[in-house]
Amino acid sequence: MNPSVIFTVLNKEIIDLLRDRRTLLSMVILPVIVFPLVFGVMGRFMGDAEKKAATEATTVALIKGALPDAFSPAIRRSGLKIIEVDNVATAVENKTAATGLTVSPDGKIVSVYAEGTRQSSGLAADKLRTALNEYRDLLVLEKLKTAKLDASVLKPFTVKRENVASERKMGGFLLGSMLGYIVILLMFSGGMYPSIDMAAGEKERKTLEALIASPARRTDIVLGKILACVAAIYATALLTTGSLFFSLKGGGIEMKGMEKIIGNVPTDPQTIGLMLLTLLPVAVMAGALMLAISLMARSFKEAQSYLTPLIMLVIFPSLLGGLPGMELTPVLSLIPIFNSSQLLKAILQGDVPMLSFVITNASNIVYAAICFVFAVRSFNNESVLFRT
Amino acid sequence: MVPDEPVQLLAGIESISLSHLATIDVRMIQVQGLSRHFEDKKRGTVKAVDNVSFSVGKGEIFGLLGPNGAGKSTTLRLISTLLKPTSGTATINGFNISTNPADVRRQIGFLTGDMGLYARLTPREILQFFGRLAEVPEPDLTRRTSELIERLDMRDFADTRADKLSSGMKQKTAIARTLVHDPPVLILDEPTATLDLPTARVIEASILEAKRMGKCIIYSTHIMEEAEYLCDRIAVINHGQLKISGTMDELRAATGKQRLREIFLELLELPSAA
Repeated sequence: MNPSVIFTVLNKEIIDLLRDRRTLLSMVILPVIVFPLVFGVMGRFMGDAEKKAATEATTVALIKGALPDAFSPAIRRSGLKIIEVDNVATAVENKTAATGLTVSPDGKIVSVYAEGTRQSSGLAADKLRTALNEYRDLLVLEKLKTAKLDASVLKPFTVKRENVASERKMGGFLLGSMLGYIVILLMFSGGMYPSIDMAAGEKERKTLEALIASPARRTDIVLGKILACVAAIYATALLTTGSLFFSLKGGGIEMKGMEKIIGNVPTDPQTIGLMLLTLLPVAVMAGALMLAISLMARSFKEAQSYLTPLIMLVIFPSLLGGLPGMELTPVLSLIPIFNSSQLLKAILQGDVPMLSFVITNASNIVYAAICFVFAVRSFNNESVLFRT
Repeated sequence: MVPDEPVQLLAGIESISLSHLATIDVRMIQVQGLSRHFEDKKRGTVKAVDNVSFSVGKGEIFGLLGPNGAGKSTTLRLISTLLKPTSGTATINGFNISTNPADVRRQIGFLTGDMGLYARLTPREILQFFGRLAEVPEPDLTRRTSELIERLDMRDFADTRADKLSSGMKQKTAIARTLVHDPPVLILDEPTATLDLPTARVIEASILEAKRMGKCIIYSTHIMEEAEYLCDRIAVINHGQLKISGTMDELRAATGKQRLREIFLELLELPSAA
């Protein structure tokens, strides 16, 4: 191994990558904007949508003359404006009214109509249901009063649910569900162009032959390339994580009801350090594997068609790792990608199972080493390099 | 006329060439029985290079001529250690291509037929990159880079990205890249194929200068006039076999033809339009 040659190749590849717009987009711009986009733009959009829904949730459809007078106070209480129609369901469906109300002939069943895909309709239906429930409770109270009974007979005790999970753990749980998935996915997509550029791209541009005809040993050349690829992927991970924490600390959160939860996610050096430590072997594994696969291809396009399914393949375990109910057992810690995604969630929750942490990182180091050897061997294989 | 037995012809020429040895001090390149076979699903075993032998001395330009697919590039790749031989061997400045590939590559500057320049780097950066790969000490590399930029008239575009350069500028950069670590042996695969005449002349001049500096040069080309003008000895390769090798006078004597184009076509058994 010749460190000087390895560094020369690494340095050249980094310069080359930073001058490539495609790489910059997938490696730098996308990771930097993804979280501000999720928390900021999407949150704002959702907030706006809620406001819009609230302004639209103002009408209730009734069949002309079919509503018993007894229900008029409830409707007034809801604040909804009455629209008289022939068919309540149709009126709600075609947006003539936000919600609708019908009462069975015996007055025992009251139906509230909502169009399930329309937020404004759901909101209006909720308003109406709340008003009807309050009206019903009022009637019950009046009847109890007449019967000279206390209201407490209906509620001998109250059931209350207590969440023992700390706010931090809840924040980590919610955020961790998506963080592992997004970071790992962006790492692989961020590494895709660099790995193609450094291997199949060199073949396509006919620069590979000149490179391997240089006095440098092939192993040193490929080590430099793998390190450059890993650096690109890890930079993506750093930028993604940085972007996440900046979004959290920067107050770009607009998602209604999430402020308290997300605000409690720890951004202390220990949490960030553990996350970055977990992502390092994943970056090495991704870099070496993608470079080795890219080497098999004869052209940029062919390499893309090999690596796109790999990214699809990564989505599944990383998404699974974030699902609620999945726990990082020592056996599951052996499954690559899934283990990292789960571990990231555990780190954010501040509840890291030490054994699983060790197994996850140890197994990922082994997988990274296997991918590393695979890439080095591929680069030393002339049938791979000169595949036509 | 070319004799029916090309091996005998080759042997004859090589014996004539021995007299040429007197003028050349050192056999920098010695190729002996070099073969490379590939397995092809449709064609079976393909003998891309078949028992090729030749030698090239210091300060000599050795032309390698042949039609497309004749085995020229494979021969050059074998000598440059990019491919491993099926049988036979070669030594470059005393280093064996099979046992000392890294040392062999240190002795050579290999210009591929496709130039192979990094589009997003400048010529200066490319020269420095390849110089560092060859572990040229930094002060020497800086000096050498400046010298080559000056000598090949690259000043105006030395700091412009390679993807913005004309093909002539690119080829100058590629030539400079092969020379940056000052190797004693140059292997040039069709260096002027895509160039206009004035640029080709600059490249040819730099090759002749390299020869004057004692470099041993293998020069593969399709341009007969260029081969006649530049090369001290010429070999014709076809179907992986070396058909003939010698000085122009030796080739004329062996084939009875005057012009290299006629000699070439005669050896390929193709009718001449001339």
